[in-house]
Amino acid sequence: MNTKILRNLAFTIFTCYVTIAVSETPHWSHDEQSTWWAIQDTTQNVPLNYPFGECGIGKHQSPVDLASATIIDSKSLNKLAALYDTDTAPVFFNSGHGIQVNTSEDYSGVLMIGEESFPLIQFHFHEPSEHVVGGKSFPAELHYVHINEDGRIIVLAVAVDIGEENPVFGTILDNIPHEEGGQNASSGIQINPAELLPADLDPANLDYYTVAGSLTTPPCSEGVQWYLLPKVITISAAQLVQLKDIYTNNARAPQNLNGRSLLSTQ
Amino acid sequence: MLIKLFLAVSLSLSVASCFAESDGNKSKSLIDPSQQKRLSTDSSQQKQAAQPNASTKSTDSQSPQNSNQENKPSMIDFCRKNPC
Repeated sequence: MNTKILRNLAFTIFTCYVTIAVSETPHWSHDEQSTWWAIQDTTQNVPLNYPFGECGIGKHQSPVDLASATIIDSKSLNKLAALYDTDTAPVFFNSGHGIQVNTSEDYSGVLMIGEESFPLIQFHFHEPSEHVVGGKSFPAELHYVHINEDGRIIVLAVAVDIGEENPVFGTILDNIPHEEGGQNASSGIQINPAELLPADLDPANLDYYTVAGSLTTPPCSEGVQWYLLPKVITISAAQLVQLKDIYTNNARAPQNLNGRSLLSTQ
Repeated sequence: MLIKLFLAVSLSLSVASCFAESDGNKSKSLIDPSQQKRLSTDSSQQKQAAQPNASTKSTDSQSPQNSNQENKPSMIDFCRKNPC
């Protein structure tokens, strides 16, 4: 009887170990981004033992230098509308790589591209910006991440400059846990992600630049469509210091365009 | 005479404040016009709506990855736990 219990216990522990080993991605950091592609997952066999290989061999990687790309403004593009409403139960999350706000499970805010709808899953910040203009970065960059029912990812990016204090960003800073992996799901605070958009743009009809790209963090998966707003938002210098106290230099360097152009509505 | 002078000063201040307000409401542009490399091609040749679900791959068009339904829960879950 005891042997049977011990055997079941050992099997359970082994199963848990294998599940965790398989499901966890290998550790990575922005400091070693030039060798993300070479990070090995020792639990996998060739070629899956290089789970971040696309970071090195991908040809449509993000971010990019926007001034290096040719801008095509003669094409008729889809209407872009950020239909974000207030999230009554956002989760403030320290991802271990940056500060992030996950929308609640029943959140209904979406990004409309033409007639297609892409639910907002989370938004997060990089310091400094990931996309640069003529080699010059902005102090920070906001990424709204959307995923539709097909698993397609759309990221709406907004450059962040120093200027007037941003009250919504202040709320996020005040509620982000400082420990890696920490989640604050019961703050009772409501957030409307639309309030972080540039004030002089119409959320229901946004001008934009768009380019095909990838996730900017491992596994650097391609097939991500980027929408970049032509206007910036501001945070105060003190808020930037507060952001840097939590995460700094969590931006990927610009990647080769490899013939990609920017499509523009303006 | 004083009334005319008063009206002139009022009008000047009013015009100045209008310009000041319109500048204050504008956000800074992402890409300075001097840094933009524009390619204005013949619109009749390229009059094609850029679809985010275009199935053909093109270097300058919108070409998101084709994914299947199974990606939905895992990718959403992944992007809640990672920056993406």
